Amino acid sequence: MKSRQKTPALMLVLVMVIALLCSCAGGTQPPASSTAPASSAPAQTASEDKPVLKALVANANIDWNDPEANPVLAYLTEATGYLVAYDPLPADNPADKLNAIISAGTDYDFVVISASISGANVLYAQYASQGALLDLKPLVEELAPNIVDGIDQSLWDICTVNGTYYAVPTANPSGRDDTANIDYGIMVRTDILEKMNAKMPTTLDEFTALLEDYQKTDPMGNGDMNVPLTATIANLKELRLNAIGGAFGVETDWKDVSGALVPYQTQDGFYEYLEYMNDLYSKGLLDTEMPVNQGATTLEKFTTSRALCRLDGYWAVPSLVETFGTVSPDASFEFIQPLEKSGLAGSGTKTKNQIAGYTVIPKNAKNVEATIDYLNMKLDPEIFKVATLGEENVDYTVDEKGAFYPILPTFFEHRGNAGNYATGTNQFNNDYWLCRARKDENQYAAYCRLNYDYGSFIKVDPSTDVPCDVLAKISADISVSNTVTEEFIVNSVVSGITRDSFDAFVTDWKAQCGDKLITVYNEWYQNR
Amino acid sequence: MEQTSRHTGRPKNGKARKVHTLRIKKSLDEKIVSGISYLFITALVVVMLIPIMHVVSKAFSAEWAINTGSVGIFPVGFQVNSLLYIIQSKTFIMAFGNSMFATVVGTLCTLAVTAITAYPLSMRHLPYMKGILLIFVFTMYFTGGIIPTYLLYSMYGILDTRIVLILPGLINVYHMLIIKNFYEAIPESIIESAQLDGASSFRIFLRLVVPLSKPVYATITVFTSVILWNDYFGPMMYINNPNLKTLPLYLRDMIARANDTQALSMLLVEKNLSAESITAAAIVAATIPILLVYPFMQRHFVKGITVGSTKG
Amino acid sequence: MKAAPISVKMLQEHKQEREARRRLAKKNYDIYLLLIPGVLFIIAFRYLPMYGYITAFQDYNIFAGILNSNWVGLKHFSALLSSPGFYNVLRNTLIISFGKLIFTFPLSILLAILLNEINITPIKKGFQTALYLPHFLSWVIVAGLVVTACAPSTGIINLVVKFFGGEPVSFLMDNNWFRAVVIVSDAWKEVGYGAIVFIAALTGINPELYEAAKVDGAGKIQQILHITIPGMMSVIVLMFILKLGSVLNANTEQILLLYNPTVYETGDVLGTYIYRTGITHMNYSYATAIGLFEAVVGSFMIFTGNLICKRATGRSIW
Repeated sequence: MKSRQKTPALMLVLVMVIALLCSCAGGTQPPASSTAPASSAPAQTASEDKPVLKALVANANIDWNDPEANPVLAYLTEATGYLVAYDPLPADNPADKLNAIISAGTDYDFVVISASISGANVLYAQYASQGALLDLKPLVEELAPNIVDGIDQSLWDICTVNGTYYAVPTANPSGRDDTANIDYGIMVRTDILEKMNAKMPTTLDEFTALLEDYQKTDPMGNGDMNVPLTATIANLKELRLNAIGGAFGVETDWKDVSGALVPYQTQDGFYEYLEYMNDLYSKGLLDTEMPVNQGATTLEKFTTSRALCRLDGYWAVPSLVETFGTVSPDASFEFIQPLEKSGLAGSGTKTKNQIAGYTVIPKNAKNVEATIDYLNMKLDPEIFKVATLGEENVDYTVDEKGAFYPILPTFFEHRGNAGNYATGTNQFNNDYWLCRARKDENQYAAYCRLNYDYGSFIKVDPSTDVPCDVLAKISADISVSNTVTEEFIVNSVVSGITRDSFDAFVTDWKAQCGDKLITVYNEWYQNR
Repeated sequence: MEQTSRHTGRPKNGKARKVHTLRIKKSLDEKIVSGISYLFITALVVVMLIPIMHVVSKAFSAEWAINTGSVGIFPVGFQVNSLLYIIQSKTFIMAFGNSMFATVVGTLCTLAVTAITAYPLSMRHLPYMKGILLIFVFTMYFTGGIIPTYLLYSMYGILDTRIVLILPGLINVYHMLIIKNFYEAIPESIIESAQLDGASSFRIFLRLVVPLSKPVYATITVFTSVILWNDYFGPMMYINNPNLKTLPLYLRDMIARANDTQALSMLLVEKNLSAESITAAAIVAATIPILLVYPFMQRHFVKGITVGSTKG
Repeated sequence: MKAAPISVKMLQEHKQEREARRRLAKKNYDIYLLLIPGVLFIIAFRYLPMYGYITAFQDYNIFAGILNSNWVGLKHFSALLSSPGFYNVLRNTLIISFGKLIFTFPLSILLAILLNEINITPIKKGFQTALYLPHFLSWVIVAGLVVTACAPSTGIINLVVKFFGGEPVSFLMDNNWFRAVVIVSDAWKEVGYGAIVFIAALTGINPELYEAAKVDGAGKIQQILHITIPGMMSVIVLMFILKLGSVLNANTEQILLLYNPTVYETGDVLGTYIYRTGITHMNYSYATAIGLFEAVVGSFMIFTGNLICKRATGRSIW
């Protein structure tokens, strides 16, 4: 009996020793929450007299504290002299943890509330108005000239809460100077078009005819497995915004009509749009499995040549090219333009003032001046450029027009994750970002197609300029609106729509959230 | 687990004479039931295994195969890059170690405390025991909210330490009730005779009750270690230090990273990985260690407590 | 029982009873000592956090803290009970939970019994391991599998249906089928793992009972009915009552991944409704109120379950 008892006990001890060894393995990464400063390599270039800063950040998709995986970290440490230890929030539900940490009165030196956290602007506004954050305006204006120079006034306006601002905003980059990016479009298999002797559709009628033709003539021999246009429920939103909605005038969520903001839910165009989509659905031109499709399903249908058209973003192009290269080398695809009808067309997007992250300083932070100094140094034009792009002729080249092109693969190795470390951006950020967009020529071509070739279709949603504190007032209503509207859209597309059901929806929507949204948005819009 | 059987299995017709015929009848009867059992269980095992094989295959299949839905039960375009991507990093080893530590230490502590606490509660005749039991049961459903609990732990000073992975889950009342139930099935006669011999309660517990309870301890060990190993919420909420990250968090991060197509499509294309295969590889990496617990515990599911109390 | 007038004799009897109880407790003081770590733990980590329930009756502001948040009494509870979809959602939750109880729970028991009949140990162990594997897959994965299997045109279930000459059904878009899909897929995932506790229970049944029964001429079925099942009865009752307590937790995560607007009518449960409408987003008071509501219902269920089981089978948890 004794020896039998010994073996499991021995094994247990062995397992625990291994466990302890493994958990000490990663000890080279300096944890932000311990009081001892970092002990290893990356610190060697940080100044002795500058404190180690602790930061709380979102987006745990990278190893924040690893300078080998993220050379930009080593560069920043050396260039600014400050070592920063990052604690990342979890990937799921980061808002709850952030709320807990902030409400417990944390002493992180700075926190980056990234837009990847859902409801980031509302969180920022609430923390600011509840006094959990330091007022940054006096500090920045006095101690951070780079920040004052680099950041556009319209961005400060969005961060303004109670007359002052509590964050250093990081702008969401865009390849266009006047609007945010267009990300999505309907992709069509151009090789199948050739087979059908059809051309790229430009109007809605042409598009419908194309889908019908595809279904009837069955050029790929799929029989009744054909799906002219495949989509998921989530795709319905971008189908409206960027592809089809423009033909009915609902390519943005809100429109300026004679100086007032009007929501798409109340417009006739919305009714006609749903009517059209239901028509597609009942004829089988829109995938009847749409409610249960997932991204992977539609991808499968597209890559196995069952689907003629599919909605996706320009970043999916490299992967698609790769897949087609293996399974159907003759395949080719292209983005369709936003479709026109009776002179109406459009692809909706947001204003250029979108914020990717709010860098804030909690009330109890201990090294305030050092933090401001650090943030300021990062926006020094030279430091910012090298941090974002790397070294000229090693990581990137400049052409005669001043455009930046990446040198692969070093650009990616050196600055692939650089964007995550940004705490503020300057006026050159868009140019730098285009360098990243150019890293794959197919992807860049797709991007140009959507944003430049089809640039004349772009319409801006004026409601997206709304400042955070206004947004905070209506965030719950926006959430209800999205839920109620989505349910109505899906049911209408699948089961049909009548004037009565539409009117009932509008009344219900207005009662639950719509009236409040219209009031609050217009109150802001008409008085700005 | 009734030792004092109320049902002795006496058949309605007590004929013991026709031995020969009955033996054939019994073996036929037994064979049929045995056959049905094998058939049914085999069918069930197939139904369970096939989807799992499909998922595991995706972990080792090429991107184009996954994108076109060509992966069946076996990998297509075999590659191990997805798995390597998951496990070939210091962070993985560290997270693995952290999970191991929390699971092993946590399971041991939890088992010890829960097993000890269940013992007095199984003695229903003692005064106030029922009330104390209800105090425990009440907590099965009533817990605090996220933020107040966080603030409380912050006050206790256990946030961001290894202890917070173990301490809050120390007693799982659900499991304690299962253990208590097993204790209650132990015949009182054994306990009483030991008491007559002058043994203290703790001695009785240690020398008598514990050895008899191996099956239920094995069961609770399996349950607890699975819960601890897969615990996402605790580590996510109460730990900030990336060095203390546990495996579920690491894997969720890797999966989120793989699905972040906007930023990383280039990386994935270069390495020929698809988000789905990374997700599947993450599952393989996370599940294999914990799967080993049950087989190890299985030998404790030993048939029969031969304590000589078959009468009655 | 008529209320008897209080007499000195009764008072004396009560006093004696209390004395006897106290003596019994004192005599077994060492047993009570064993409770100390457990009780300390339960107070520190289960009862103290309950102060958070106060927030269910306030408009809790996480920065102002509990002391400075406004009191609103039962506002959140009445808001919950009067939300437009509440009763529909509650109905769906209960139907799905009881469906699981009726389908999956007996299946686990059956599985344990049949596994017990397999005598070749390596096969038995192999089968056991294979059966509880699905438990370890997260719902993200399993939901993906279910969606693929239920696809109208290419899903394996419909391929079988077509093979037998039937019309393919869009299970996940059909209100008549959705709940069944939820229950069956949950069974697939959990039936093996749920059998573990019953398998353990079976090991406690004395093999001599079976021998005795065989000698008495009992057939296999009779053995199962009269020895095996009664032998597991206390565990069965325990697990049944415990499962009753979680009726309101009908697989939120699972349903979130499987449902879509076309099946909200039958598939929307309490958890998904709350998540979808986002009414608890940043509204911790409301979330706590809902938690309190679920807790009250859950404990009511197990108290009732315990009482009923006590009356019906003589067995109970307390």
